[in-house]
Amino acid sequence: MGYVTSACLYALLPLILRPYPGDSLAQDSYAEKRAVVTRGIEAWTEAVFGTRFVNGANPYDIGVQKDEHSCGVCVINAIKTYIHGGDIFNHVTRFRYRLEYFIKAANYLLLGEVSFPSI
Amino acid sequence: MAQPTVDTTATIAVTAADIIAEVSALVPPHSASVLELGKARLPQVIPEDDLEDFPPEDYLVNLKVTGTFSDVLNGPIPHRTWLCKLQTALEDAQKSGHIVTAIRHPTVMGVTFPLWALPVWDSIVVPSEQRMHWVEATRWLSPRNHRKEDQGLLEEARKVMARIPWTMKAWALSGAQADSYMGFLAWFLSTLWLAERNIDIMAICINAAAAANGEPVPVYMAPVYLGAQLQGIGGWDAERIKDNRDLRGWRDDAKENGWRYIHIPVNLINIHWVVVVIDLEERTYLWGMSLVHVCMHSSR
Repeated sequence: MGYVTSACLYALLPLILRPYPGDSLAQDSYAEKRAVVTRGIEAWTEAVFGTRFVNGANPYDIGVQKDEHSCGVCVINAIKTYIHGGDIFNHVTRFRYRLEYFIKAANYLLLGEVSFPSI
Repeated sequence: MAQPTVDTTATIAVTAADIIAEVSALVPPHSASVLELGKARLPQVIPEDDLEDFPPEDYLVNLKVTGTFSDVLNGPIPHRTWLCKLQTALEDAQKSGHIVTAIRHPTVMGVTFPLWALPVWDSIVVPSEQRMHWVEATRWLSPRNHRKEDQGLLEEARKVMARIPWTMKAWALSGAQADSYMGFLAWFLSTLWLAERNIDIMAICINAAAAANGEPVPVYMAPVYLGAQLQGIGGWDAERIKDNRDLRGWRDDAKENGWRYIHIPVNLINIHWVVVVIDLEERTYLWGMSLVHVCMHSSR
């Protein structure tokens, strides 16, 4: 029969307590950080572009992740799709995008290739 | 750390030639690909986070050496950030006249190594880290983890991996990231969230591909540092922002290049990527968030 010793529990605590944006525990700090960035954007646009930009009404077309580790792929995919077209990220194709972006990045670093529109 | 007596027994009978020979046998040659690196016999690296509560200066001691040469080469190696701090602590100790004869291993209890363990660890920590990343990536590429439709991409990814020299540095990255080895690319091939270097490389690719036909492109993907800067300037006054060349320069760059939209990747609380789009014509910004429930709870 399995049981958790106190040593095991202490070893697991950092993993258990680590914040993840989907957790309610992380959402307060997440919202707080988002507010910090918002203040930064508004201060920057006002100082540099002459007007304090406002939060726009249009939705931004970005895929929805159903795991805890696809956020970076979603961001790349959203921007790439905005500029070059293509399909928006979804959970079923999440690994395909990781593979595609790895191949693109590696080929760029190895050969200097930048052929994004071909995807 | 400061102990007055010198322990003259703190030696291990190993010559410099022995060290060079053993390290050379352990570390694959520069020409090896990442797939060959994966087969190498290299020690495990203790992650940086696991050494947060281990101040390096506490591990410089004046005690008898107990670890063997084999222990130095094959035991767990502290993360390279910790080794850098240990090197600094050692220099400080020597400058201030403290007698240090050995390094206490941070995670293996009761084991002390001679001071030459530091350069030996230093010479094998990078390949060990690279190996760890690429082994994980190779596992992720197992066909059973992927859909049938993606098998062609899997094959292509494996071919690309075989071409990557493990010692190659990612020269195309900017600033502080210029010294990155190619191991960060392995993060694409795993269930890890992406490192800043991955996002920056993709920004270079996306922008370069957009500009390839010679036409002005109204959309630009900013590097990660802009999002990081925006997190720190909320309380700044306008003059201070204008005085900052990096922040001010975006106005001229946008004008010169005809950008209407600037897409800014932003990392929130160091665990979640989102995107902010600045519309310079409409004078608005939008948030792109891939976690729906977080979007709902975090609206301003």
